[in-house]
Amino acid sequence: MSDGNRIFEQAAAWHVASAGDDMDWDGFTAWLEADPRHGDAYDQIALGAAMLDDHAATLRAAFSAAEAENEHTPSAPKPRGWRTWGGMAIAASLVAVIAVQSLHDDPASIYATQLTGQHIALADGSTIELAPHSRLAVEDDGRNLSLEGRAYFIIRHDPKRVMMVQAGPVQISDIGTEFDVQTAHQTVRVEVGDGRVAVTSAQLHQPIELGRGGALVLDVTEGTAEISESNTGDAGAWRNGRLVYSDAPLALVAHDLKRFTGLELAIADGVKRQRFSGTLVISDGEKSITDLARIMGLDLRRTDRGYRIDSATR
Amino acid sequence: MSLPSNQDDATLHGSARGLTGLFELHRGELQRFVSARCRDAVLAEDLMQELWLKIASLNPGPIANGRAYLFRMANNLILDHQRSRQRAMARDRQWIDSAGGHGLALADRPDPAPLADEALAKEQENAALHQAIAALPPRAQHALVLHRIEGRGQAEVAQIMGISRSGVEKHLALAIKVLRDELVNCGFLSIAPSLRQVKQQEGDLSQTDKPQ
Repeated sequence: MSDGNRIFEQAAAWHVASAGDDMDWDGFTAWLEADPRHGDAYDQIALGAAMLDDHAATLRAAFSAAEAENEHTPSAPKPRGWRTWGGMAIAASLVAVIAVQSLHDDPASIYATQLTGQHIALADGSTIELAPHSRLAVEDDGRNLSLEGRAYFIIRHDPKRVMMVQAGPVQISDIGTEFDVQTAHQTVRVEVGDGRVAVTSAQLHQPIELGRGGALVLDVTEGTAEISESNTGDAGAWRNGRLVYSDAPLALVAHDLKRFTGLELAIADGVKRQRFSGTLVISDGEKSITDLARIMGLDLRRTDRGYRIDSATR
Repeated sequence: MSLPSNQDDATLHGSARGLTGLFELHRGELQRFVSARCRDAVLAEDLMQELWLKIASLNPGPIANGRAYLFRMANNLILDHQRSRQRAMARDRQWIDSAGGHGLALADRPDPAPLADEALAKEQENAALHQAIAALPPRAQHALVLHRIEGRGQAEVAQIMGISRSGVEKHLALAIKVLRDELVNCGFLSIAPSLRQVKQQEGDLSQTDKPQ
């Protein structure tokens, strides 16, 4: 094995070990001092590994599901190669997973967006506006959809079929309508732009019906469900570059801003439950974050990764 | 050299003063580590100062192993510094390329074009990472995804994969080494001068390795 390769292997081993409490920091220091190439090699290893954190969300979407497949069928050869859906390359193995889970033979279509959203037209004439940093799987001839992130659905009513959208912990059905859905960790928000939908969830005793202007926020971690009515006609306003909130938990707002601006925004635990009402314009990501902090009278700091919002007491 | 770690514990329970005390106690070793890691005396001095400020303003809960905690903080601080420098260099390049916006704060950017470039670079970076991970040996990929992408601890990864901690470490080390190789090949990590020599030597070696 060549000298260079060995150095990178050692650097990688040190980097992995550094996460543990039993790391030999003196040994590491001595290794760094032994040869200037050691430090350079370690820098590259650490910088490369850190890039994973920048892209954790999309990598998780692409690879976490693929891992589940590995566990079920350890002997199956891993599908390799790339396939492009809507301009973005994702691992083909992910497509295979969805196909395995589906009862039917037709493979799911996966749409995964990054910095720009995507307009999706289904065969039945329904359309979906997928927000940035979101993922939509379409299965069973468009009867089953599942969403991570945010999307605005304009669904054509067809009494002959049942269509369902899975979004985090909820299922949305009885659809012939327009509605906006956003998921963020254990929270999901559904807002109806037109028509009616029924929302079911293992977290809810009974299905909740929402009409035009109705919104539901379900937070699984907190165990809360809130229903509100607004007739502002702002459902799906994000498609026109505006994020409109009415009494929305700050954590949900932050998730949205991260999604639309691609900037990292951390919210201190102490202010996560504060509510925000107002409109943010997303064409300038930095400004929308500054606006949010200013409107709420909270402290905004730059961090190495992006921004952090905290209470303004200090 | 270092104090028994249980004594560290005793000084550290929820006390910021304990942490600064521990910093003073290990200052020499930390200084030596930071210098070795930075390979730049002035920068090392600055970062030691920053580390002290950070520690002084911290109010941590109980910390199991204070000395390791300080070294990890120092190591992360250096990495953060390098990352922001890397990003700043990339931005400067773009600003110079796009002419006119150089040196302005983000909010004062006259033109959204640099942002678009940044977005494009980010997408390319993302695609390179996807490709590199997809090409990893299955076990190494599994370990990497569980640990770095799903954020599970190494002990938990060992449990899920049914292997030892050191087995997990080997898979992870292989994964991030291959990742680094791929990123360098794709031009996302620049090669430091000392490593160019390594590359040169590798080339020399591979030539001399060939059967005569």
